[in-house]
Amino acid sequence: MTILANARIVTAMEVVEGAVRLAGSEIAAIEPGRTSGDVDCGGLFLLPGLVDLHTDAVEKHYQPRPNILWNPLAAAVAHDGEIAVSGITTVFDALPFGTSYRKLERRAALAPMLTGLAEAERAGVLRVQHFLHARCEVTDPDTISILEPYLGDQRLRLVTLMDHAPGHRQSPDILEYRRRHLATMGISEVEMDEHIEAILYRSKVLAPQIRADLVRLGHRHGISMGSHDDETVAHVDLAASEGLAISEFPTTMSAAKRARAKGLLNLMGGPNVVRGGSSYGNVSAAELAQAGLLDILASDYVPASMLHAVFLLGGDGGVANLPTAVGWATAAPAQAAGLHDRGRIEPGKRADLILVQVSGAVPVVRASYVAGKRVI
Amino acid sequence: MTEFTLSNVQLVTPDAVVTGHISLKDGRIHALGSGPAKGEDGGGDYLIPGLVELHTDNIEKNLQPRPGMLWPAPLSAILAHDAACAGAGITTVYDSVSVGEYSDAPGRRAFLEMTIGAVKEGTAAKVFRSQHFLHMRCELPDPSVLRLMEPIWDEPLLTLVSMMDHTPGQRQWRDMDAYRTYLTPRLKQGETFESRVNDRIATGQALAPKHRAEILERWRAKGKDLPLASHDDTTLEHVAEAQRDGITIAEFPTTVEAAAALKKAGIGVLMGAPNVVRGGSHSGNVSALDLAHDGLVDGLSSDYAPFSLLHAAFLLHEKAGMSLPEAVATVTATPARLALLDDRGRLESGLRADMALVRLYQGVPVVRAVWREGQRVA
Repeated sequence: MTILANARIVTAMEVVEGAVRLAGSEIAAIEPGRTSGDVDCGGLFLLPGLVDLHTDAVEKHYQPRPNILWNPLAAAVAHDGEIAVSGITTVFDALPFGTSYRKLERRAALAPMLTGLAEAERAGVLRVQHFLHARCEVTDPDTISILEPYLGDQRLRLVTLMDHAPGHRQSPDILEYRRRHLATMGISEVEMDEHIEAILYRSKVLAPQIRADLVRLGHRHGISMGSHDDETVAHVDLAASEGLAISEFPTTMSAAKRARAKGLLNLMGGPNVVRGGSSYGNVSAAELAQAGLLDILASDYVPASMLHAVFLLGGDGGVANLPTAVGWATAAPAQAAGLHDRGRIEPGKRADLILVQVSGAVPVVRASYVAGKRVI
Repeated sequence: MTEFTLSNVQLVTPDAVVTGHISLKDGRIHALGSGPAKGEDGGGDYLIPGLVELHTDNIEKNLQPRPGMLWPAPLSAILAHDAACAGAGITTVYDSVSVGEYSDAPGRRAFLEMTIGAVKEGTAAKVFRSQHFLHMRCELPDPSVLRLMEPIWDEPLLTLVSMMDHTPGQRQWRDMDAYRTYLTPRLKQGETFESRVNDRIATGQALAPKHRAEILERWRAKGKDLPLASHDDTTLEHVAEAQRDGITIAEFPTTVEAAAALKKAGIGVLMGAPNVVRGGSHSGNVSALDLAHDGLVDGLSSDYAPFSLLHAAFLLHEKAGMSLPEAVATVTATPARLALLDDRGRLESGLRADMALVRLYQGVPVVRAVWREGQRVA
């Protein structure tokens, strides 16, 4: 039994000063007003551990520099450590199952990364709980065959369908896409034009069937699914008709509105909030929050951005109160992924808790508990 | 908590590995001994001094999470970097910041102010897990290096300077084929490989010696005995130059010849930990493991991958014939000594209680817990 006392506890509805009593791996009770216990939280915020449905960070650790592949177990442990200190206690490692530009190295990296994560989990050296988010590129004919072997994997809890062809969704402007990718993909202009022609063809001709097959497989295995970069009402209507639960990174206000109307949850990235807008000039997460259309925050490509975004949106001068903003990063993603045992500070929930100091410009995680065990 | 005892650990002391216990008091190591004691159970894992990292570029990745994008909250980026270091067992870190640009990486210059500001801010607010110092990497051929350094010389956190010269045809880029591979995708429109190389060589010859003399003078004015590093020493001439200038640390020498001469001259040889883990240099230079075999490596630095540091130390033990205490010293006691930090780097009573608890799993060291000055930080 551990009592975390003298904390500002962020519950679903309010901020309560007091203590949280743990019993083993679960929360036993909230004791308002209590200032002494086993751990003195020093008046800091105590939040539910963040539930991150989308992080790209694994790949960065496995490939710290272009063309340099790391020991997969060491990369998994380093990734896990970074996630833990970012206040995330449940993470969905978003890995590419199929890619828009068929970079062989990126595909070859999938199996070792998954093995490294599994090895680290087996060794009991991971601090937080890891699940798998399969980012399925519907313009890649190999996506299904890459995904299939993992369909029975207990870690696989989220599948998102993405179509990175230019001209719509993330990159509505083909010329802008061409310019941006020429700067980063390391291919010639001729190769770029060939790539664009090929992906446009695949997006138009092959993607509908691939998408339908993925949806069927996902439902059959009871996996939560999302649609990526919805731009238009038609995109959202398609996702709704497919029975998807999440609209990940909608790129326009109208798509986000439609998602809300159709019962899909709008997920936005922490970097978008911290940077004050999308990297591609699409709709900003803060605007969606202001309009009451934001449901879920994820860390996307910067793990620390998730907690930072919570306090930007829910702190002083933010668009929401703190419990609401915290809910976007905890209860809402937990529920969307079918993890009903966590995401709130309530008796009976998993004791996934983080202690957060907000004295300066950015929130700092001072301690983290996963299932009642201190990991930071 | 001002007193704390950790028992059932394999203490890696400067001389031996001892199964025993360690007690801490007021942020320092109070006592250590063999056999069990009443206290927290360390699970039989290794307990080593907190790692001392003299050269990491890891901040750049966090300040620039995507190509061409500068993160708008520098302190947040540095905190992520700080956490990566602490999680890797590093309790003292020299954030190396490029002063002047040798590559076309845009924004290196912009990094400078953001990095220094955020490192100062985080240090003052006491929000860092590791202790941070600044290591300015002065690129000698860059026309703006002196101007950029001008406001930084008096910064108290600045305690290490290195002088580098990435002019093609020498040091890191003496292999012009490797340089061609590196540079070709980075050429601007209307520029050829040859025109760029000629341009760089002319600039280097004109500016580097002058800048070198000025930087030496400023650094000596700041503190007569402050550590000073050379970078990518390749030839005996480079070593002679280092000796002449009072260099105390040689970062990443590129040949056996240079490493041997540096060692003989009493200059600390620092090699890249990624080089050890990957079994070779990414730019085709000498392998750190080979150098270690020949007894030519004093210390290691994580360069661009914080988690490589501890891994590399265990590999030196496994593959280069070093005892575990010797191998661990390359990432603890030796870098601490080279940086003139005499209060840390060894498990000894009276020193700072900077420590990491480490378990080996399938040959990979996994950090289980980290303390800085007796406080658990990871």
